[in-house]
Amino acid sequence: MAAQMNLFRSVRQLPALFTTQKLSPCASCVHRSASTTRQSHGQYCMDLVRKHDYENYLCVLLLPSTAHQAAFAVRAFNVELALVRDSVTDKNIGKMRMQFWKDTLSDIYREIPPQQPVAQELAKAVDSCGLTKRWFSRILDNRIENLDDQPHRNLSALEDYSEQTVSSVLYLTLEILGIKDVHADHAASHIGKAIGICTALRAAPYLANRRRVFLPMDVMIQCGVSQEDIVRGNQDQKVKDVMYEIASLSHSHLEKARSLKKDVPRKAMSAFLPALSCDSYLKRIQKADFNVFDSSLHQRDTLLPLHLLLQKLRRTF
Amino acid sequence: MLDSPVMPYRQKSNMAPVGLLASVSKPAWRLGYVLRPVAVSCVRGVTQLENVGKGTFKLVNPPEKEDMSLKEITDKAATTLFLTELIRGLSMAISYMFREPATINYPFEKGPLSPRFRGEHALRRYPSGEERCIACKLCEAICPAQAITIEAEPRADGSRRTTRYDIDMTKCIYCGFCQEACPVDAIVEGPNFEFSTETHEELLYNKEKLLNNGDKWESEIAANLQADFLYR
Repeated sequence: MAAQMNLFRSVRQLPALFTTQKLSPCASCVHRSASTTRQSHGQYCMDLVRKHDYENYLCVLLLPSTAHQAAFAVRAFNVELALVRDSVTDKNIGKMRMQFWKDTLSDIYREIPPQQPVAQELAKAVDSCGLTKRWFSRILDNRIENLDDQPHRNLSALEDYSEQTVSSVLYLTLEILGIKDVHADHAASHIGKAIGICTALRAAPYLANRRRVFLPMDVMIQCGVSQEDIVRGNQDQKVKDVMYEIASLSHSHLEKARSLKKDVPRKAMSAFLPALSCDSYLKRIQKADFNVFDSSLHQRDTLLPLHLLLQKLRRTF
Repeated sequence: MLDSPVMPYRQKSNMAPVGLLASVSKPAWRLGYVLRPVAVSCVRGVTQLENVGKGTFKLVNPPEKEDMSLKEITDKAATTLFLTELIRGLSMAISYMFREPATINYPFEKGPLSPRFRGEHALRRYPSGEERCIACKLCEAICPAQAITIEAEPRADGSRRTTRYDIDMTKCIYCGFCQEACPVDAIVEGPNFEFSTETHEELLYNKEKLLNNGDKWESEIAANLQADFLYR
């Protein structure tokens, strides 16, 4: 009888065990997460980039190890800014956050960074590599403008936006690598544009889920596609035409950058590794007949690390 | 057999004296309950009954043969149907005994929560153990219910930290603006919804309570923050 009672009790407690474990973390977990793992600021930046920007995380890992700290700091800064729009419901709250980063940036250059891991790391990077403030403010200003949810008016507006946000990160990477070369900068500008335009394509289904469309308006009007078509995931030929126009612009920038390859110093090649993920996406979208909603485009490219490594060894982009 | 003289009599003369008709027809009418007209026809013969003129007497008993009226058919069908209904209802009840229950054993089991659920507040720490909040006071500024009170001063090591971080949970309207405004993701609305208290004072949270909440719920909070490709 007693055994029966015990069994009954343990069975009754079973769901309780399951759920308490799931809902309130056990004491040991809290302990570990709160105090035992002493994570440095650098590691924090690295984790941030790995979590939110995996492809560029791989690219930074392939940079020379002396450049890791600064490159991760710059990438983490970019991630922090890029995440603002999707974590706020109102653009004014986003502007408040952006103002914080603006103040932080000026504080970094006054050498009194706030106690925030990304700011601290960035201050270190600025100190050691002498990074130019203008690139950071360019990223910041364009991200602030992007808070307005206004689609780009035309393809060249999208180009500008990409140049200001993505290329600036590439310029900073070049500065970290200690390369001051006009051809490298020229290539970085085109690669940045290619990546930025490609990102606009990649983001279209994700942003459409949130009822936002950032594709350039002139192409949309030209092909007779409404924003509602994109939001509803319309897979008509005219939507594919829009994607084709945008993708071919991205591709032409990539080709242009490649034509400058012979003048670019070989040391700078590792900074241009992000071009590979853009290239692989363009190839995939071509295979999917420029249907941006195709499921094959939502999968992570599992061979990307290997391709990046080969690319690095070949010293090309 | 009492009515046997009555019928021929009435058959013979339709113009019977009123008194006689009244006196004789009464028992016949009463007898109708006991002796059915079929029985009468058996005794007297069918032909005799057929000769009876219409309106000369009244059949007061319900007809013996099967009624095919719509009402009757409906009633019979309904009776049959309700019987099967009974069985079907019972079998449904029994089947639910073997199914997975739709209810949950609440205090021990909890229903699903959206990752965007806005529950009890918590102040988070960095994995290094250092608190995230840098006293920028953006949450205090954005709070529409003015539930947050912050006081701050620089620490000995030069870093700016809060000395006081109070949230009046009875003023809070759980809009989540504080969490959105925080540039370092320090204040968050965690997944906890079971923090009812008996007194008002217990709902005036201070910094210590909020940091403890953060430590307690960190794994859930971290999991609920989004992770994706950088889309901008």
